[in-house]
Amino acid sequence: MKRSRTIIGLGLAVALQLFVVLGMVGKAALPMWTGTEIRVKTVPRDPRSMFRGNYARLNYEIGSLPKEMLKIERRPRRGEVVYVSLKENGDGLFGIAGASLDKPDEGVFLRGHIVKNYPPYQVEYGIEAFFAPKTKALKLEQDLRSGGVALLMVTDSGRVALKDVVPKVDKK
Amino acid sequence: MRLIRLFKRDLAKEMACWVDKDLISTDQAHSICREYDMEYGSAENHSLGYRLLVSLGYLFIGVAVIILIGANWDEIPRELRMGGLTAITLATQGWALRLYYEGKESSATGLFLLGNMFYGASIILVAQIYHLGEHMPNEVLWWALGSLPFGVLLRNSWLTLFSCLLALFWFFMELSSGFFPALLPVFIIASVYVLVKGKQSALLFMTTAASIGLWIEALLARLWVGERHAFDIHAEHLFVSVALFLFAYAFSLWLHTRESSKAKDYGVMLSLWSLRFGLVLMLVFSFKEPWEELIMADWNHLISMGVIVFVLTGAALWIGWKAGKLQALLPVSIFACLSMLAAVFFGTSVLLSNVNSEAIFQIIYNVVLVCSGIYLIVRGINDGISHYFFLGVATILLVALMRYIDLIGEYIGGAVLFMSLAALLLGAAKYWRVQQVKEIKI
Repeated sequence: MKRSRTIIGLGLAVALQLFVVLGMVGKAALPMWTGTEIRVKTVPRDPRSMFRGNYARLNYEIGSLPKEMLKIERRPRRGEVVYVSLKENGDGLFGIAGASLDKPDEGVFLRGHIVKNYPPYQVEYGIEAFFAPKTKALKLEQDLRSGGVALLMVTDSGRVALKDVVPKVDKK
Repeated sequence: MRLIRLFKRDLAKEMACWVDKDLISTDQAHSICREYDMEYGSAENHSLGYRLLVSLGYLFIGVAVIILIGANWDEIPRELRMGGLTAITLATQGWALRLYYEGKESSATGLFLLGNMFYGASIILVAQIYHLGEHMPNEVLWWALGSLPFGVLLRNSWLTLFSCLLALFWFFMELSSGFFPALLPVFIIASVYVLVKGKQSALLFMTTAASIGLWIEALLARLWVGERHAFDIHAEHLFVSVALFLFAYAFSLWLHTRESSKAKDYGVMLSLWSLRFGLVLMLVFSFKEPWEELIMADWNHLISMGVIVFVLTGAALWIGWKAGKLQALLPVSIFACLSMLAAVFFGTSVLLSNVNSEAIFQIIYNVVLVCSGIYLIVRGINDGISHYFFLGVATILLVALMRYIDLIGEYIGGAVLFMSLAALLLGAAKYWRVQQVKEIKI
């Protein structure tokens, strides 16, 4: 291979890296820019990621999908894409209304992956971690022990980003 | 095959001493070095050690940056964090590109490695800032894919190895999350290209061989996914592994017949690890429990497994024949195929369900292990191959230790087995002595 062609190739490889990083930022930030805010119930716990430092692991009620919600003949595959429709409950929080392997035409829905394929199915949406400095992550875990509210930004295609986690305020 | 190929740098160093002592001429030293694809005097050249230390230094800088990111500096605006790290990445890669342009390839390679670490750190920072899930297989894949062109374009084994190790990390993350890592062959093809076109690298060669095997097994797990839709390991996977190692052994024999010194070296490595795998597997199956599990297995994918094992073994025998090494391959292949057939036969036959077949298999495997040990010792001494000799001794001692701890058929059975093994060893020694006396008389 000619040296000049190698240099052009290496330049393109650097450009590819920049493109990947910018693409990832765009993909991750898109729901923040264009999405609708919804609130769902969550309970955090504090582990540590090998790469990304401390975080609060978030368990969602909408992460557990009862069998009757997903009306399919066969058993779903692990990793299979599932669309979970949400509806607002009386307390201002969103809960599961139904689920389908096909993209719904309307309403608020999240795009997730099935990680446990026997009932109740477990679904992950890519919003299960809230990264924060160690002290903040531990405090978050303490403050939200009895439950918290995750602020999510959802696009029309069901892609979702985690905006913030706040303490749950009981309406009496 | 002699392990000396793997220690040829030591050989080159020794030769410098021989030349100094007038044991061999400089021309002879040059000729011997050419035989092993080395340059005489390269042992005095410490550039490899220097490059390795610099690369490790850069690797550690990258790790330090990643750890620093882990501290999560959320008081600094995300745009500043992201922009700063991206700028550092681009500056490092730009600097490396400039060094390459100036012809300083070695320095450029180290900096490209550092740039690839910063690139990975940028990806990690995006995942942290935007709280992207708990598992991050896609991010690791992008890291590996983005780093790969540098290794391929520069035909550099270290840069390619970096991408391949990341790809293997992604492979396991992806499988554990329930996804099939379909893109691993991209890294395998790239590694093969660098192995063929670039300089010799034992680490990249073994990583590539392991990646091929792992990907084939994962593909089978995908095909045999069943009603649970989970990537389980089946008994059939083991037999495919055995066939894969037979193929690898045959391929190593073929590589050794090539003209290229690099191919010969890879052949030695592959042969050595295939042999070790065979012995370790036989040691595992010298116990009763693995046989019990194997015979009790469901065998739901018998036909597809049979076809794959048949094709791989057939291909191995064909390669062995082409390489003129069928004599070395045939006994191993026959024993492996007979073992697999017998295990399936006993596992699936209703009539033989009451036969204590596990004990029979266990005894056969212990005897075969000891015979293999004897063969390796004799071959090691006759051909002057030290690693065969020591492998043979280690095999026999390990069998003795295992059987002493885990007696077959309680104390009397154990004693009978040890007596039989002792008779086998003494008989082999006697036969060897007779052969040696005959040779001396001739």
